Amino acid sequence: MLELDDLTRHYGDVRALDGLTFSVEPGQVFGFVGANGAGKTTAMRIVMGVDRCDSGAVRWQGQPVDADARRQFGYMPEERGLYPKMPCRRQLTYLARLHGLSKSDAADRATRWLTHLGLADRADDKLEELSLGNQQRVQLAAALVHDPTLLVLDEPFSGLDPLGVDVMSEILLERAKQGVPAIFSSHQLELVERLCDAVAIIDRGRLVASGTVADLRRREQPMLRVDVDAPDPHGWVKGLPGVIGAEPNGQGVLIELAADADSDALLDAARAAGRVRHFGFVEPTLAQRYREVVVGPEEQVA
Amino acid sequence: MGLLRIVAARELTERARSKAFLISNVIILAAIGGAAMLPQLLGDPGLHRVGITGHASAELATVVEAQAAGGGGTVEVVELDDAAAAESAVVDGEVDFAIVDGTTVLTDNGLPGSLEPVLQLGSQSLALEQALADAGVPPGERSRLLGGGTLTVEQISTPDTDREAAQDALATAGPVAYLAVVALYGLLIFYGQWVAQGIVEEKQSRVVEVVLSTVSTRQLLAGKVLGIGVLGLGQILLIAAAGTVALLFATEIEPPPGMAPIVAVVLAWYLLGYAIYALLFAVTGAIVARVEDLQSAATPIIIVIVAGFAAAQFALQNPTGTVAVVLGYVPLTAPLIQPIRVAAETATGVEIIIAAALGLATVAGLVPLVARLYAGGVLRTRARVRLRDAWG
Ligand SMILES: Nc1ncnc2c1ncn2[C@@H]1O[C@H](COP(=O)(O)OP(=O)(O)OP(=O)(O)O)[C@@H](O)[C@H]1O
Ligand SMILES: [Mg+2]
Repeated sequence: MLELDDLTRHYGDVRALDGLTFSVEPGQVFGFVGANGAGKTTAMRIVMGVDRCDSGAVRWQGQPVDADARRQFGYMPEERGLYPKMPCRRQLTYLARLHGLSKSDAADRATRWLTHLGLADRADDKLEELSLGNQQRVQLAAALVHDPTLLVLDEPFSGLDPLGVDVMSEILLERAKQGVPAIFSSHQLELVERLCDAVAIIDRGRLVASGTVADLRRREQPMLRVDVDAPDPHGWVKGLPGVIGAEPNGQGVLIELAADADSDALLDAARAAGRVRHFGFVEPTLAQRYREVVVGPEEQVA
Repeated sequence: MGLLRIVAARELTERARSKAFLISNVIILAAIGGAAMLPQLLGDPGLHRVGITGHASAELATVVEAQAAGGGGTVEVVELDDAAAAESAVVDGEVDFAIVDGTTVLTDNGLPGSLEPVLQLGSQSLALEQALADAGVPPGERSRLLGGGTLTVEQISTPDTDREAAQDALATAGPVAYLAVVALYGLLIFYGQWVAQGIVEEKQSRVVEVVLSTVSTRQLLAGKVLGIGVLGLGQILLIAAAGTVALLFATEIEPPPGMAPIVAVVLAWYLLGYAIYALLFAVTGAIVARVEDLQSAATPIIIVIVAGFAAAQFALQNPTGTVAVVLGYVPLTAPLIQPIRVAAETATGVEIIIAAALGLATVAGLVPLVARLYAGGVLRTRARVRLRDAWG
């Protein structure tokens, strides 16, 4: 288990992290989302030891993370980087050795991952001779080549074509099945929603929501969408008991109910207004939920 | 230690495969080969060809031979038929000069060095001997009169014998010392800049972040400096080997007797000089964000090396001068001056030890400073970092 405990980091006057706390369980695919400048990269760099925190701690399996633990992690930095003039296989072998593999193991793994990612015939080409997407595959191989115990990937999907996204997703899920957790940042919320077991949403260096995707989508107050064929498709809602709020939604209306509201009474009222074409609870998408927590409640009212 | 070795091995092998390294080897071998072949292509400057006509000239020619032998040269005597033949031989360049009947010397661009007074004296004593013979003095008596000068030379003070001794030593060891200093100068700049460039390339490509998630900044810096340094050591050994082979087989110049100590001192000062300059260059690499900006950041360091090289040329002229003595101790210039002081046989054991100790102390002092600046700068990949920020 990876724990980030009350991390803070200032750059001059900028508060990049402001008491960030969350944890990643074994075998989880963990999505890390937040606006530009929210502090995702900063947090991941601190986990990987390439940046330091002003206070707080990072723990791995209950112990403060140290160089030996980090050597078992796999890392894909936000700004990709490998040696442009070094052939792919040689540099993967080199990185695997830095991660502690023997010379022959390292070479084997490098070849295996390049083959797995469809780059067997480019193995001895210089990295700079590959297309950007293929360079990114090599970068992924660099994060995986030593069979890491944890994957820390900063926006791993950006720049990938749909097939690349599939390959990356499959690898993450397959690693997770082996018990290897992965934390990755992304702005593609549908992807996060589809892929992740758990998500952390951060805003200005603070955690604003976290949990499983299902948890995040579940609301305290249920939402009901009702479409009624009526001269006034929205007006019938007014004044009904248990309705906290309502807003027009295309041909129908989105109704926010109090937790203890009687939805049957609402259905009766809808029937009375006209022919009911749709009546059902809606769960917000992660993207909607994200906008709520990140934009802040005062803007929601407006 | 294991990680450091892996880093160093990559630095070494990747650069050993690089075009820059291969080309530099070709240039060095070509330069040494060329330097070795040059005297043979141009002819041996120590060889004089002297044309003579008549018996009296032959006697004078022996004087020339004796004089030339003193300076390490050789003389080839060519007998010519008459004055006309002697003239055309001089004009055609077949001989350097011609002695006609022991009375006239024909030359087209003057007599070399101190030859004219020697020839004058020789011809006077020949004339004197002839006069004595004409007067009936028997041969034994003649040679007693002519050869029995009793002038003794007594040295009553020692005017700068140190300097003369040094210059004597440099007369034979000088070319080797000079070549060694040229090689050191080139290697310090070349390999030092390679360190800076390697650091910036890792920053610019951002790979440094991946590497530093597995090794510490100290391991990465030390591995880089060591790996590149070993490659440079390999190249200087190549130069020493090729130079020795060239001296032994391709030229008629005898290797100076002090060859082995010179090579040893050059190797030692390569190591010290490289360590000092590689660390300084590493700082420029750590604060700069792009390879293009490296040149301007490294200029102060390069100026110091060039100044050291200029001082070395000066030391070659005057190996015992104050400049050579003082700069021989200064760690930044010692790598280029000490080989000359040693080749000139003027550096005492104490001096060598003190200079080396100062060099080592400099390296030891630089290591923590540079490691800190490097750690502070190497992960700030976006823009040039001020030294103060890298330190902070
Ligand atoms: N080296 C730095 N120097 C100064 N400020 C920095 C530095 N790195 C990050 N910051 C600041 O810290 C804050 C958090 O940045 P960070 O890169 O962690 O955000 P992020 O969540 O990864 O954003 P994005 O989605 O755009 O990648 C930003 O305000 C950023 O400007
Ligand atoms: Mg980021």
